[in-house]
Amino acid sequence: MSVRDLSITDRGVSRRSSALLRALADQLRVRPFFGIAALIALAFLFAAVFAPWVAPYAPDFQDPNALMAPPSAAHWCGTDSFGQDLLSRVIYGTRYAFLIGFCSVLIGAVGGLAIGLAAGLLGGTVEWGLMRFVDAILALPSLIMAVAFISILGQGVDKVIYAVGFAMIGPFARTVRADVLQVRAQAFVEAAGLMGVDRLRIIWRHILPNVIFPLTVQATIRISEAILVSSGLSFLGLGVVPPTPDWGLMISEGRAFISIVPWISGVPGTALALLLIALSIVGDGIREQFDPKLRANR
Amino acid sequence: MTDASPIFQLLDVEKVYQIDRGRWSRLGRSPPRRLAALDGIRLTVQAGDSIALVGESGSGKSTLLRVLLGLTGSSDGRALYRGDDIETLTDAKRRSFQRDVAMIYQDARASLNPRLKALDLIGEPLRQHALCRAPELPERVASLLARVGMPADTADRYPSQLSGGQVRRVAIARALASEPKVIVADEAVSGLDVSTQAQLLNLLRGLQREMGLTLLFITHDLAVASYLCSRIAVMYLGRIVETGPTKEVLRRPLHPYTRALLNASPRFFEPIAETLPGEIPSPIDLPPGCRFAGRCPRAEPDCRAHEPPLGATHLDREVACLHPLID
Amino acid sequence: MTHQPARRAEMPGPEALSSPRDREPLLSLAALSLARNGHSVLDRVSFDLGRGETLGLVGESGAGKSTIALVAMGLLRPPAVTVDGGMRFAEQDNLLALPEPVWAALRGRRISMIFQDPASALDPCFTIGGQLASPLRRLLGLDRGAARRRSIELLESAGLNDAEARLAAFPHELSGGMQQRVMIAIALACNPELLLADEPTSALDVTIQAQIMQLILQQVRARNASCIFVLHDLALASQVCDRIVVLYAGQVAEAGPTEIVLRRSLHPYTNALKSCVIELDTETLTPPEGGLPALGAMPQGCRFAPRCPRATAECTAQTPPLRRLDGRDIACWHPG
Repeated sequence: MSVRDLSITDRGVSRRSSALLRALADQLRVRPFFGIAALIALAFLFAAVFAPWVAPYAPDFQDPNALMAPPSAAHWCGTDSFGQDLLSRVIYGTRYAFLIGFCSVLIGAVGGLAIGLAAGLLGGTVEWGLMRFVDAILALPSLIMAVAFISILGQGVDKVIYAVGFAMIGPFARTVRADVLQVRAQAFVEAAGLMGVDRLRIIWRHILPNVIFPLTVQATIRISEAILVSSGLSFLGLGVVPPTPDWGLMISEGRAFISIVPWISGVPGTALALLLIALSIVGDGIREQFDPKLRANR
Repeated sequence: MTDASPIFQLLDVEKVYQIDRGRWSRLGRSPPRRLAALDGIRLTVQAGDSIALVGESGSGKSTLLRVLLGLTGSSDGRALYRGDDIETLTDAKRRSFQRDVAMIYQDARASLNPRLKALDLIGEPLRQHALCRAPELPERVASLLARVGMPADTADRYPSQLSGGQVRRVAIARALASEPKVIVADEAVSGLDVSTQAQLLNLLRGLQREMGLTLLFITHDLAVASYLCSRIAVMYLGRIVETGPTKEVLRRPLHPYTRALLNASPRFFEPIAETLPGEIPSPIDLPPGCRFAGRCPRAEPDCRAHEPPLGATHLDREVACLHPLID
Repeated sequence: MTHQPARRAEMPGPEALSSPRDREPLLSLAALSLARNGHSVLDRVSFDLGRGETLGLVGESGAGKSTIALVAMGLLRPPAVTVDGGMRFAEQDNLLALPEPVWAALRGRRISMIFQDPASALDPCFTIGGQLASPLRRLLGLDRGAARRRSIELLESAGLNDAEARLAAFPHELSGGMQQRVMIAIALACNPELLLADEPTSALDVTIQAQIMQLILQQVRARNASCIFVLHDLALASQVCDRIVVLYAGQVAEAGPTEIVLRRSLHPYTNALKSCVIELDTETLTPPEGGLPALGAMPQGCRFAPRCPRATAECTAQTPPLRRLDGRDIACWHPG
């Protein structure tokens, strides 16, 4: 019985953190767009966090001498019909975009986790009932669902978060339930049961950790969806209230003037499109790197 | 507690699955088909025994294991652990059952939670059965790892960072953690490189002898059975067809199926031996009589009429055959 | 069905390494090195395969035996991997440099492969008949009727009774042994000159294994084709292979006629492998210590040196070349 098992030290991969960095470096090499997209997304995030220092003007500062002014040295992206600097409003708008995006995905993920866990673990009528509830949520497009919510709850940033969050519970619940069913069937769960570990501990130590990870990957992908839905709500006038510098709202405000002063809608629209594409690519890259099912085929 | 009762006893255990013919069968009321995964199993395991359960697919060896571990209930017959029915153990007895009987899975990697380090994996039975205090845990884990031939720093690794052979050793270390009296292994060394397999076999044999463990080892490989276990039980389509001391059974098999298994194992420089005709039949709705009759080179008319019971021949050997190979 | 001795009767003499037939070898590897993702998978592998011969590639995981089979089938080639050295097949001087259209004409037609797990190698969406007819129609140009007749013939010679009914069956309706027979029939449908069999019986039950091996040998010999078996079971290799190549971590340890290599082994690894084989009367096993080197950390020089009882400084300094010794090729500084 030798303790000299050489292949351990020769294994190569030694720590999880360096494996993470290596994985990200892998993605950068294989998909250069990932790098660009990540930079763009990070730039937006930076703008959101440091908005007061980055933005040239306050978002609701109105300059009566520069109403609907085209892009110039003083206002890089022009101004809107109230004289507010578009660049500053876009920068402050990233705060709302990320805030709504993260928070609603959080609500959706937590709610989805609870429902999916209950459905996957309890089975029987409980599972049937919960899944029908989820089916009902999924039957309606998230925008329509969110509109329905707003009409009940009223308008405002927090109401938008609740509305979009609730709509996201459905897809999360589905994936969590599928993951729970799959993890439950694994040998290590049975092995723990054989050892005498009680059910709650098995769920906490064995099932939950293996479900949370794919959930997090899902969540990062859905942030862009949440931002899109919330912008749609604001565009329809059902989301946040003016003068909140929300991009959807800004696009809607410029709608009437689009043929004369296109930049009022154009600037926030471009920002929205850019962020969504960047987040999409980043989400794809993360999923490809970390989704075990996809990875197995490489 | 010196207990003269055998560790495991299976008394005419049956495990039957009903298979629907399809959704329309319930309308037409045609009877569902019967899959007898286990059919009339009688087996006794004494303390300190090492028994190999040998069989091919459909033999029921995995189902037998699951019945022994209490993971599946039997449809008929009784499965006893130290004289008590496994399905209805009291809480205290169940706890001691869970501690005393440890399992090593065929797919060792799947039996380890990929999100836990080896320290936590091996420590789980220690914690569960309160076998040592928390500060002593790392030391105990290190000594268990040393016992299976692994360096102490393995404890910090995740299963994904270990090779196939190393993962098996961690699984074995975990099985040993609860200081079991019985180890049950389902093809624990198959699918490994021969050198790793040989190392693990030496390990298991050494542990069994050192610790006086009772070993129940499922394998399809007769040579592994012979190396590791003093007794062998050969299974075919849900029944035990022969039992006895391993070396004896393999030197002079009594059942034609055992002999066919022996012939089928490749031996150095011998030409490929006469093969058994046909495929292993489906265990669904078996015809009456001996289930091996369809492929047996020695089948007689009475073989298709009567199911041979597992009967003792001479000391310590049993065979289920109407015309055993006594020559 | 009488069992014929699986290996050829004549004992190879000292000139054994040249093809037993007086012709060019069918397949010839010359110092083939292959790297994937920057890791060396094969290191200067050389061997020849004559027409009508059966050759065994034996070794443990990471030996590179499946890799060689995949390269010979054109399933692994640049730019997915970087290669050095050469691989000749019949009149094709360099298999590694062939463009895909040439490969499309070779695969299935002249070089064919059987895989380990028939359940995943057969397409579950198509019937047996459809999968059999595919190479017949595409590579041999048979029309539908002729392809059907030929399919029935092939299935019958592969030992499947009720062949006509089986044509309409799907793979999941057959047992493992029957699926493997179908795969053999498909592989041999166009009478290839070279058959690659990658662990063809590992996924099957023991009593079926012997049937399938016999079938493969019988079919290959009937076509006077050559066959390369990728195996991990030395005893099985001794039963079915005329010649054998023992691989360790991508390097050839020892190669030559099976009798010579397995009965009079000179390489420490071959001896180590033999010592790990359990037979019914084995009392003790003395496996080599340690494990196979990981892909990213291949030792310098002879890759078996870290585990070799006879290793010296010379072994890690320089990889021993493959040279002829006592009727076989061996790469070792301290053979014997």
